[in-house]
Amino acid sequence: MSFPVRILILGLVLAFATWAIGWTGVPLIAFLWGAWRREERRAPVEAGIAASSAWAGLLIVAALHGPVFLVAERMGGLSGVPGAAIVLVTLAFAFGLAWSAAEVSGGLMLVAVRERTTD
Amino acid sequence: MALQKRGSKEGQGIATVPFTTGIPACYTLGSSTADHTAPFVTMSSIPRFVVALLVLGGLCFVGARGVAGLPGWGSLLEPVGGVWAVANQAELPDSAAASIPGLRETVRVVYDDRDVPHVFAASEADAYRALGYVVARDRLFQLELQTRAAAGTLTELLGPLALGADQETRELGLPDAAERKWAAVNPESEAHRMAVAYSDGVNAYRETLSPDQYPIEYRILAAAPLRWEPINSVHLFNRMGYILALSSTELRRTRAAGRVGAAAAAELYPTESAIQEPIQPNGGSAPRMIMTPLPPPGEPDSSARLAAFALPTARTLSGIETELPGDALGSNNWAVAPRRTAAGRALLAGDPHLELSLPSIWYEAHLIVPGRLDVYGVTIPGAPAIVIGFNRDVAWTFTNTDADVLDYWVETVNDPSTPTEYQVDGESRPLSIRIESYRDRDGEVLATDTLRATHRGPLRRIDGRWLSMRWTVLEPVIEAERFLAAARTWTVAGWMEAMAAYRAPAQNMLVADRSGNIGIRSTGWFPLRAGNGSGAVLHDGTSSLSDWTGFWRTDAYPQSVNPPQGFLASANQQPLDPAANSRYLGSDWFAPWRAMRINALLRGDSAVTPDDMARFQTDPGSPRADAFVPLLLESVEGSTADSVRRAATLLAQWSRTYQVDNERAILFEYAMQELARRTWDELTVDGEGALRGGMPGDIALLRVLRDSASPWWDRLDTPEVEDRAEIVAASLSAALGRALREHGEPDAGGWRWSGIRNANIMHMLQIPAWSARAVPVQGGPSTLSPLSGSGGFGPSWRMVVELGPQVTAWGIYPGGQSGNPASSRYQDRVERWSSGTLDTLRVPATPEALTEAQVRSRLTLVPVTP
Repeated sequence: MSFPVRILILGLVLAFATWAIGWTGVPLIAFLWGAWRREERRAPVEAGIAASSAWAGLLIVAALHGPVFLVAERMGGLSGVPGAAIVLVTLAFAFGLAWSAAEVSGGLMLVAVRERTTD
Repeated sequence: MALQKRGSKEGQGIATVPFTTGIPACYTLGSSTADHTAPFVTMSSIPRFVVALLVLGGLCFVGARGVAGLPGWGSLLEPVGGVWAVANQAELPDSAAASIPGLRETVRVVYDDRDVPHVFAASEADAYRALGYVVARDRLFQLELQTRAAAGTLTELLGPLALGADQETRELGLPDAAERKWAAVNPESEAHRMAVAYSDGVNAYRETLSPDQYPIEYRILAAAPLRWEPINSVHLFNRMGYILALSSTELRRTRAAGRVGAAAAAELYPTESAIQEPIQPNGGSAPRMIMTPLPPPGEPDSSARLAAFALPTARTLSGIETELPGDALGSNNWAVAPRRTAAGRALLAGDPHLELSLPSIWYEAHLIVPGRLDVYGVTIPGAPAIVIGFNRDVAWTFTNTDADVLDYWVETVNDPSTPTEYQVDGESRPLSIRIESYRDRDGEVLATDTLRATHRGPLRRIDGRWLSMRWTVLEPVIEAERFLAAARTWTVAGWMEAMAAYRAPAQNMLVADRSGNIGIRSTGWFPLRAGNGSGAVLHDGTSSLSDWTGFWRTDAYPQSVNPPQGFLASANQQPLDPAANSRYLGSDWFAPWRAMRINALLRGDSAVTPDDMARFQTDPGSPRADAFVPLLLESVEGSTADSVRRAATLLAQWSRTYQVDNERAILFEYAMQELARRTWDELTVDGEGALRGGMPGDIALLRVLRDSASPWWDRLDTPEVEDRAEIVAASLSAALGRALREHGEPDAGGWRWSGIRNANIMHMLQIPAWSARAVPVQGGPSTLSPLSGSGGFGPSWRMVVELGPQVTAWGIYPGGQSGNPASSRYQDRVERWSSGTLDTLRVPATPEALTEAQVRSRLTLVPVTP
């Protein structure tokens, strides 16, 4: 499965998870992804990219129904940063959640595999 | 920079990674050519697993709990249910439907192209149910915030920072009064039924919302909308009383008496205005001037000095009072009889000045019940009524009367620290005592207060003395009922009759009808007092003879219908000329500058048009400047000092108007401040540099300025005896110096009025980024369109109505119909308001009367099916 296809599929799953259970769906799915693809070095980064892409896609969908960037500007105004920064923070938040969850799960799985192997 | 696992090559699997601790913490930051012989863990490497674990933990914590004053970032930032969902609620859909419990028939709501809902209902109860729904739809957070402010429960939404405000609200007895008022309402009465209907509408909307649809303020506060109770409407009217009728006329005069004696104080803060341009016309064709010289400062009145310390300061009474420099809370209204209008139809203009906020204090709506009700105007979110507006026959508007409706009594109590009884007529009476708890957002008790009350009202300890107060705002009357009835009337007489029982806050109620009648009446509960009837003193609480003895009869109120002059106007000036009626109504009135200006404009125009009415509302002329500038210039004619000559030259160039591009008004304003500071040095409290309780008004200053030999010119801090010329010269020189220092050379652009005084329309939570700031507005102190120093108070709803065969109306408020900061309708009217433009108001008689191009959205409200 090529990289873009993996990103697309994982992104769709993450978008669905976000829609279904909220932001906690991101680390949850990414955790599973990281565990499943524990031997793939790029799995955590893929998860992060997919999560950012998923949330970006959801923001684009939201933008079709309302002034998303104006919301970003209003939120940015709370802390004196431009609206674009809020969008970036949002995408970075998704990336961070997914990357770290996949990384942690991958690591834990490797530990488990190693201990099984050692035994 | 790429992340690469130590000991692996690009693209290799991870299974070969060595483990020593069970943690895959052996990653280095580097390129694919990383040194594979490097130590397992080096100072330059970051254990990726640990980093990931920390990042995950940190993000989960921030996601769940939040930082930087925001709630959990996860629920806030996620794009489906997070704050981004606010965008979905920003604009009205083309059409929508909802159900409301209790609705009898289907209600059709058509939003026009100004986003004003036109509510077509089969009954009034259904109309007010729908009103509750549409107001909640646009202003849900405002509904709650205003109500909590009035109920003293802001801490439950905003936390400890609101404790002071809540404590003041409860100490004043406002929530307690609301409970008593609501308990006294007959459940069968119209007021009760409409308040309940309105409540049904608000709650029906609230219950349609999922958490991701809550207004953005709830999202950042991590709160949920409160269920709306009918009593909240009572709280809201109390809040208006707090804003409009909480003034202590005792305060300033008593403090001044403690400095310069009672006689001088009485003239500094006079009961009667020295310029009479009353609301009830006195038959004059010009203002009546009573400009006698001001009595000299006398010996301090020691009893007043003591009493002054016992009085609440303006700050403790109300933050608003200290914030206002003069008449920014003042409002204007006027009506012109057909014989003085170009079209031969009655014209009415309304312009209440209140706190400017986003969203606005007002919400525009039109309610139609065929054959029963057809009322258009503005409502205050939370009030089941159109407060200012018109129907097809009658138009009405208000200004604040500013009468003295609050008195204090010095009480003698049994225990100065924790009293339980007070003395009246030689007998002990038990105090009413209640414990108030202030809770935070989690329901934890933040603080408790023991609140006491006498038969007069709330009892408070101030500087060691116990003062009780009686205030008409706390009296048990429901005002909404008056507005409901008035909306159905069709003549001036009928409207005035419907409003006759209105009690508080007292208002100058102006009305005009289609038959060409115009009328005005200062309406409200005006106390009758024993003795000389004055309320401008502290009363002796030990005697029941000092209690209020009743209230004015309605026919004694200041009023006029179809006066010979052909117009009526009010601008918070003294309602009655004491030459015609000297009964005490209040004191320390707003200076009549605005009344003088509007009367001059109306006297000078015998063919008034609606455009004239709108133009008058932002007229930049200033009778105050017309009165002062010639005297200031005359006072320094002999001066040779360069700075004084230059200041006088610049001042003489001034047109005495306050357009946004005017570059001389600032010099006048600075000169007035300097002049007042130098003239009233006798009133200065040692060490403070200013009189607590406020400077005397402009009229007192004018009386001194007209008297070149007044002893008030002498400064106490110099051995010499100063005269008018010296003080005015020093004031002008200082004003020029300040203007140059703060704003540069006069014609370099820094003196433009728009850069000095402009409107700051703040979001309700004072969030700058959600506010409209530095909005230029034509007008200055004491013009018809004044602003407070902070720019936070000013014209809140400008309306002009022409009552012909078809009612025609124009209006605007600074803001927009939506309370959603992400909506295009949030502040879309601010620019037009700033320029003085009025929108044409659409008044369709049927839903079909609006063309498709004029319809923004449709809403169908249906009964709940069993």
